[in-house]
Amino acid sequence: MTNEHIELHRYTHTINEKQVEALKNVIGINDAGNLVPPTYATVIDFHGGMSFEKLTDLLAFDPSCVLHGSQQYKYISPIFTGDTIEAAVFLTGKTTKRGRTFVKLETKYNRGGECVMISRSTLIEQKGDRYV
Amino acid sequence: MFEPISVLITREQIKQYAAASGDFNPIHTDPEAAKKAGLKDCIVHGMLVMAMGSSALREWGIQSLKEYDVRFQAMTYPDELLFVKGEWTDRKAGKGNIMVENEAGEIKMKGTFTA
Repeated sequence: MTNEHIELHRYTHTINEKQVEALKNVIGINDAGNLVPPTYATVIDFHGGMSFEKLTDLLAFDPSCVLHGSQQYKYISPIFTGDTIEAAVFLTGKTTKRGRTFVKLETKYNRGGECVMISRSTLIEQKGDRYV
Repeated sequence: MFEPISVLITREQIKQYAAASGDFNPIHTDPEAAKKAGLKDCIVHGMLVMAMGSSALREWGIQSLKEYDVRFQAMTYPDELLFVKGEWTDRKAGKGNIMVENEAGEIKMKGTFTA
């Protein structure tokens, strides 16, 4: 795994109630609070500026062959509906093993210039035997 | 150990999760894309399994997290009966383990949390 810290993308997203409710409904959370669920960063990313298409384009991954290997969140400060979050995504490592490419990403989520959450993930490009 | 929580994720729920999260990776909804990646069928989003883990943590009374860290160890297929299991490893420090496995004991997700 190479060690690097290359900025891939930056985006700003304001958390809206409808999107929070939609996620809560699917994962079976039905409280009335305005704290977002622990895995809400996926919505900030995919709906906020790092769409799946954008992500695979930046990584030069075949969009049909992407797996999620690991995910870590560090929660520094609670995040609420209505917050405006600025996210910065960095590529922190890349390696190829037995035909699979592994990348490590780190995303820092800031609110008003202060870091409120950090995500670290491993994504894998896996091409099956029948890949054409 | 906390009381294990059973979960079953349907194809419909996968579609709803894709729309809610914006994660439109086709291996979750398009069987042809899944085959291209070497999978036998569409798989559940790892992030949906992780989210079900966080819902289990809430049910166990853990409301506020400082860290949540998991590895996705095996593919989760639609309609597989899953069990979310967890325990404190250091109650005072708020540290614990969490895992998701199927009926055969195949571990889908394994990780740690800090409350």
